[in-house]
Amino acid sequence: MKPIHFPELIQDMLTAARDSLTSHWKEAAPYAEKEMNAFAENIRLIAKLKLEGKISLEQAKLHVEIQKNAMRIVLLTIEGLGILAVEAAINAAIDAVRTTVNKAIGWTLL
Amino acid sequence: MKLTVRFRSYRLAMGLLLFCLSSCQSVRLISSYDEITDKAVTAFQEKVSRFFIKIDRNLGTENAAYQKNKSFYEDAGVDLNTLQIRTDAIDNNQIVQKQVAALQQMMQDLEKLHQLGFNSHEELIPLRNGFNSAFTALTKLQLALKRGGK
Repeated sequence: MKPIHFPELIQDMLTAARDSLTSHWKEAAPYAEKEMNAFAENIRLIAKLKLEGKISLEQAKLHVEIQKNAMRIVLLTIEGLGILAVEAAINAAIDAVRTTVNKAIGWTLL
Repeated sequence: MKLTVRFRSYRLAMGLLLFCLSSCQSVRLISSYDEITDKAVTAFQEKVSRFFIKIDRNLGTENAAYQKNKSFYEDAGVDLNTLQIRTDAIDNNQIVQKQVAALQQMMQDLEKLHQLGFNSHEELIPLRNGFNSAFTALTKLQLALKRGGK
């Protein structure tokens, strides 16, 4: 059985996890920004409709509730993407050390 | 004595790491992709898009009135209830379940607004945008689940 060099192993795992998280965040960040801008724009449109007397207060409140729930769905997707990113980071970390560990212990553990 | 404790700690850490690594060939922290949910979301999105186009084109006529479109809300209620049952049956699926609940609430509020009446095309813009954002988000998560934690 070959000795396992733990500091090197941990460094490999950290690098793999960091790279994975960075690439996922690069993908999620523009989407989050775009949807937050869209939410703000929709609220502005609703306020304009109310100020111009085209909708009542009751209608304005219902419009805002719809926007809040749409945003909730968007944020839940971002949360899901975050969980998937963590999942990917863990799996990338395991993949990064798979060969080293398997070779060191002499059989396929990972 | 100090060395023995350090050696034991090292062995414990190594053992824990190997145990973690061996017990998780591939880690799953969220539900897997579900094709039925994905297809149901897409079908429902098409139905809602058709509804907005119909209301927009017929605004000011009887065809855009709530009474003439009551069946749309009844169908939508059935679709969303079916989707809720499906998503509830899947393990580790809380995020999608919460999304479906939020979509149900959006439809209920849309129905209330329709009952009060739509008077201008401008009123439909934030509604259509909101629903588009919601459907894009639902689809985006489904596609990400399909890809998995890769």
